[in-house]
Amino acid sequence: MRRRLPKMPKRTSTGPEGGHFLLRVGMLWAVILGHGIGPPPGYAQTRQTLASKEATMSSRSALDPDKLLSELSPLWLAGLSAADAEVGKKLLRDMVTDWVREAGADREPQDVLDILKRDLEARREGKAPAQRLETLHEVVAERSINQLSAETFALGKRLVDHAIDAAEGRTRGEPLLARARALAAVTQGLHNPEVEKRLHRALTEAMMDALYAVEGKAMSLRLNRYQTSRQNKP
Amino acid sequence: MLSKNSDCVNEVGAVEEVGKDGRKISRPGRPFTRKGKKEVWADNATRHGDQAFHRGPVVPAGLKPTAELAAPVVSHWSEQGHAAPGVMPPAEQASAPMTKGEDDTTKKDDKKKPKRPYLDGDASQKLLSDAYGDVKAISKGKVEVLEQAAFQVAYDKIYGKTEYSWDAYIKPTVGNLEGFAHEGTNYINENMVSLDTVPHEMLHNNAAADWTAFVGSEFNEGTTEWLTIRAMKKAGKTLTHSYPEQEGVVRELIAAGLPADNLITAYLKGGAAKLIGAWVDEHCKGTWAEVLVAMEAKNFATAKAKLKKKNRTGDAKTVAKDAKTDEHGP
Repeated sequence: MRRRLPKMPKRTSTGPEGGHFLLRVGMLWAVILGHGIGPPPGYAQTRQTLASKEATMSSRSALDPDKLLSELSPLWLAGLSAADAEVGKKLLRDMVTDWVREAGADREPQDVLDILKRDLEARREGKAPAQRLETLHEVVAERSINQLSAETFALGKRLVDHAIDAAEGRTRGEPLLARARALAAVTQGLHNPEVEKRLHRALTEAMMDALYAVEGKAMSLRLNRYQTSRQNKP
Repeated sequence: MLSKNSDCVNEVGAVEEVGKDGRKISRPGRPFTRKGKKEVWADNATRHGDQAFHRGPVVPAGLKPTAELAAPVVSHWSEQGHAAPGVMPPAEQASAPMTKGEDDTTKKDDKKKPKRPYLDGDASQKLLSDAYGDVKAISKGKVEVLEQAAFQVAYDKIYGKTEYSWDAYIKPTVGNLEGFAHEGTNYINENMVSLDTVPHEMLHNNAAADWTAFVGSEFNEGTTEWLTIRAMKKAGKTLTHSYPEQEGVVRELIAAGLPADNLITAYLKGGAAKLIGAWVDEHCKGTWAEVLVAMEAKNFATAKAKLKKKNRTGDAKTVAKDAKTDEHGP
């Protein structure tokens, strides 16, 4: 049951001086201590906002790369030689940096991180140390190619939509093409043939998007599908 | 190439075009060479699906792959039957759908055929009709699958005289391509296909007119893959997961409760805005618009997070009730 306090005098002062101010401070403490004083109008919203900010801050703290690294390192680097562990540490750092990029772009980063951790764990289970290291290579390559692929496709779509002209397409496409070339060496170094094939496909698709941006001739299959869907759009 | 309303024509040709000189094709460091009419795998090779790639000393010396590649073949099926010169007319094709490299053993020139197994146009149409024929009549579309040499020629017709020619650019960088498109035609490299490449591409061609524009490229790819795998599983075929990340997002949506029928109907018949978009907005933590943005950025974990089932205690109605309680007490 909620206790009722004596009727509050009308608040007339908003300044720091005088009894009214102290009374307000007292009310605030009473609220904090659960003494049953009804919150002032708008307090619920304020509290919600504060709670939301706290939740956000808590989520943001989950985006601490060092914290993530210390969480993941024992799982992924155990059993590796010192040299391999160094390689693994660098790969983990690259991966975590990209995780923070993805999760940090969302209003609920913890949800995204939970999925990232879950999916990564599914790829770790039952693997020997050397296989885990190879998996890290794959994950980092995959995420790099994904980023490139998203950029090349976005550029290709803008060209198809005539949102940019050919000259701008070439200017923007050339550095993307260079990135694709650089990533080719990475995919060729992978040992799992299925993963290598999949990443090779994604990379060459990105390369064909970028080549279209530079040359305006052949394009990727997906860009062709996009073009067709635009033509079919009512 | 894929286009609607087509028949299947398979051509065996250009056998002598590649092979007798033992020259290397495909990627740099490619582990196989052609000798006569069949592929011989080098010692430092392992298999890459059905494609061989340089992998260092993985396969013991002298070990051959389970399937040897034969001489190059151009496979082409087109609706109107106006096949290119030399293309075998439909009447001369084997009547039953077949799996290339697996089932086409009755042909005289069997040894000239590629041994890499993949479903051809007829087999793919049957596979998809068995799975989805009750929803929509599956059309084959115009499909062109070119053997390696012909594929390279097609590429060099476009880029051969530029710095991006096959030998100057593709070969020393990515080694090979699985496909590309030019002036509306899709070119697919037979040496890079998987068992389910053709049904996958065929499905793309059977998508409803409003599908791709609404769901975007990545969700489209994931759903096409999910539908392909579903059909392959039903037919008892070997499964491959060519787009596991995109497919994973689709699986997350189904795990959140989206009826599979919604997905199939939206893909093949239309209505994605209601069957997918509105459903997500109502039942999932995020909105469809958020999912779409995340997918196109290839932020697949974000997309999955958005597709989690909405927590009923956290929906808008409950939050409003909580706010009221805070303000006025229980």
